[in-house]
Amino acid sequence: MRTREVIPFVIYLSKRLGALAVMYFVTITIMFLLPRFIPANPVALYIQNLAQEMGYFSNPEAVPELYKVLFEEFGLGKPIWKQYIDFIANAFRGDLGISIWLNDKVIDIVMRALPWTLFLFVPSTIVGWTIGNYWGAITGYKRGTTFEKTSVLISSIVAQIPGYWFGMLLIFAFAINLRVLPPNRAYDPLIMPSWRMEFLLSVVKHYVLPFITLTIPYLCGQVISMRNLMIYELKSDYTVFADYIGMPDKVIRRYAFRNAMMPQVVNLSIRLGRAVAGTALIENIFAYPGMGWYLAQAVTNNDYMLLQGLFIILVATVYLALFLSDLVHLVVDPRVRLGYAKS
Amino acid sequence: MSKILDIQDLVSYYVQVIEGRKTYVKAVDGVSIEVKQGEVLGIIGESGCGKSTLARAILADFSPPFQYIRGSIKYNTKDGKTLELHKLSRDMLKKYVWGVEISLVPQFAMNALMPTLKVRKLVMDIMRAHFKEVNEYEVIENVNKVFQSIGLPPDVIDRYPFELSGGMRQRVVLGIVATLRPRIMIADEPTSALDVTTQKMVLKTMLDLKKREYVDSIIFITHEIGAARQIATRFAVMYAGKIVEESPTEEFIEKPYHPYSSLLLRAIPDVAQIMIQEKIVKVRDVLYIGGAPPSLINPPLGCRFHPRCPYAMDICRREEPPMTQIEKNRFAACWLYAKK
Amino acid sequence: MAKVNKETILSLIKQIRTSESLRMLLRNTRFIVGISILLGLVLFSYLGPLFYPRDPLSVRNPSLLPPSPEYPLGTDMAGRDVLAALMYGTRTSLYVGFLSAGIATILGVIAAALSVAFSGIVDNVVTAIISFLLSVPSMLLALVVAFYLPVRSYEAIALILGITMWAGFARALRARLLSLREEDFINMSKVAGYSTLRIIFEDMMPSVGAYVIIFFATHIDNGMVGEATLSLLGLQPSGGYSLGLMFSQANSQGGVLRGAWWWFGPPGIIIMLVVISMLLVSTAVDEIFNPRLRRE
Repeated sequence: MRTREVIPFVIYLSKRLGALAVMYFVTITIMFLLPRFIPANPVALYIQNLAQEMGYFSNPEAVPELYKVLFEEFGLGKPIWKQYIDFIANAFRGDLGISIWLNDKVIDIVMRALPWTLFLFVPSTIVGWTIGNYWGAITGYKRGTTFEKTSVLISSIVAQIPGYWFGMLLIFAFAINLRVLPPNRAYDPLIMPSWRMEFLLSVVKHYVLPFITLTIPYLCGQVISMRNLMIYELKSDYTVFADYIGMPDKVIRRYAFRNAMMPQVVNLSIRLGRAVAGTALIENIFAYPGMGWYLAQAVTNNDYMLLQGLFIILVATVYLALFLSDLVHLVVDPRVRLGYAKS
Repeated sequence: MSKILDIQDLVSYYVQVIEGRKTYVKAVDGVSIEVKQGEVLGIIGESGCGKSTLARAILADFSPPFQYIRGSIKYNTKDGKTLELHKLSRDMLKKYVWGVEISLVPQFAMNALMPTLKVRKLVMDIMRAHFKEVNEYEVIENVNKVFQSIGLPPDVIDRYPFELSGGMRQRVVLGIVATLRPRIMIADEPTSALDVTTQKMVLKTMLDLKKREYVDSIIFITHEIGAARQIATRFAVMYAGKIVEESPTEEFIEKPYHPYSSLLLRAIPDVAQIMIQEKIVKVRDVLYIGGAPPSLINPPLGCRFHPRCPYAMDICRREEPPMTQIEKNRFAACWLYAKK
Repeated sequence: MAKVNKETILSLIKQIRTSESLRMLLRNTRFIVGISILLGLVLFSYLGPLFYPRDPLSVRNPSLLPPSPEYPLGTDMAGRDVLAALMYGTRTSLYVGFLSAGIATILGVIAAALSVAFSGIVDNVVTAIISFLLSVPSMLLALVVAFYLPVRSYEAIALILGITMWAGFARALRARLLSLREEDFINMSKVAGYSTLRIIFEDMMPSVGAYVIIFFATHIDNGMVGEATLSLLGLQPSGGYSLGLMFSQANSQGGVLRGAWWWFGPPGIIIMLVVISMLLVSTAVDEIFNPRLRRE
């Protein structure tokens, strides 16, 4: 990168980082405020139940007292802004509270779940994106052929299959009927987690179906979008000119592909926003112990602490990934880079 | 002056399948034209008369739906060989003809540069497409010389197209074309949609390139006669897929022979004037081009211009007039001049 | 404030009636097929019970029976007749889908119109809200809001889903309206003294009408899937029955593991049918109203 490009580059990135940080805080704040402004919120209910339970075992008369004590302990007695500060301060220190359901530190639970989710999500996105884009580019180039028409037809339909349903069907086909792959969990519960072959094999076996469920619809979506982008590129004025000035077809194809890829890089960030829900659902179908599964469990068990913690970490992950994709886009597209060099 | 390009009776249509039936758009319907070394040929006509298609046909870019029907395109290369362009495959054309022998400056020249490539890289790629041994340093020096001669600053080569103004981009395209030293440069509507100053700049650049012998001849395709006239040495008027008049520039402007040309120039041909005075011909509409451009799918029978011609006679409705020589170097296809 | 009076509405109707594009649309195969599928589903869910009058919620039947002449789609774990449940569920899901897509469309149109009509601060605020909504993972937001909601009716769910869906649409619509604003015929209306709102509704809306319709159509299934997502994550609406509920019960009650394909298969097929039908409709509308895409 030339010197004239570096400084605006840094400025733009910092601005972007700042904007994302602000949005993150707004999101967290909204999440913080929600339960405190809705009547009959689960927090108070939970405390009530807890108090009653404890009171049941010791002294029923002491329930209102217990309630007050717990109320104070959960910090609900302090003014809102103070609660907010405590909340933010704790979050920064890594203290996200105690999960009601599992009686474990929320941060620990979340950190246990996150790797599983990433393990499922990241390879799926990479594979889906690369293969989908290549297939899509070839399809776009071969416009008008039977290959193209069939590819488009199949891909448009498969791309729209709801992930969870697809998962159910795959479980039914391969786990129940054919019995070749396990229907749920990340690994055989009878094997102790370790680096031994036995465990690793088990993980792989349990990985296949969720991976396919997550990847295939996404891949097909990429095929469609890349095909459209490729067709647009091949029709462009500069493609026609390059053609007429004698540039060989292969070189032109290469450049068209590169140009069409740029929007696809941007699309990666959009994928993240949408994929959270999809991945969560698939984790639930397969009882895969990632963030999504814990999310549903938190909901079912009314564990608002865990829910809150998961939310905070998930949103942070998404924003981080957004920032990274912005960075990549900046590096790859000279137009964006130099757009900030012009003053 | 030797002949560079010799097109004889070229016929090529667009084939479309509309509602199950094959329809032919007769964009180039029997065109015969020559291009000599060192001349600037202006091909003029209305939009939709087939002139842009003619550019494509000269390059022999017969890819569907554009189909070659018959005729010949003979071209003499820089090293003396004669090629029959209509017989060459697309790959051969790309490697040996397009760009290096005959080059097209497209209508949308401002958008013709790939937006994500620096000019330098684009030039190198184009060079590598045509020549085996490419020395980057030499190439860049060469290109810079060309660029400078048409008034571009030397750092243009390291810029991205979006960093340059429209006029500069236009000149870069012309410069790139010139670097390949084609014998013929075809310019398709280079001045339309440009303001007058930029027009003048483009025309001057093209002439400069010719003067410095970067190109031998220029084919200038346009509907703006005023612009073409500034650099053309010869005019060919195109109507409904056919050439209807050929003539050196100044004589053409002063006194056009074909009624269509006269309507384009808003002047009455001498012969027609005499024939009107002697009441041989009745004038229908005086001096305005009524009617719409003819359909290229179903062109009118006989002379294609007869529905809009003020001097149409009976024979015009029945038979197509042949290209007749009226004076030395002046031809027209019109029954006013042809002997019958 | 403009009076969106009888005249403007009548002229809009007249425009629709005399529109040639509309006539072409009605003759387009894809459109017809798509609409028919959707109508078929609606009929299935609303009129079906007339022909098959089993109580969808009754749990008195034996559980997990595969399809048979008596129970055409078998029964689920709790003993409900799957076919009856399917009809009832489709009804609710379609309702949620339409409602949420409608809310999203209305919100989007209002936001875009406000943004374009009163540029400046209003525009900045709206754009900021849109950017924010677009960066947050919508499902997470919907999840959290639904979690804390005291009453989880289907309408509330539809509202939440609608709120998560309108942002992208509003942004694209705003972009189109902005480019329209530069057009000459808008300037003429301005010169003629039309109020801003009147310009928006009379001049701009017809041009973007197709886009709005496409958005609405393609997001009906979004709403249905959204409802299913929330149900699967544990946030079933209270009371009533929907396709999402069928999925979630099949999952949580082990229907999948026991291979009860008659239970979780059909709801998925219904959703796919909605998706495909809306895809067909939207490509047809796009083809007709966007001449650049018409087949050469």
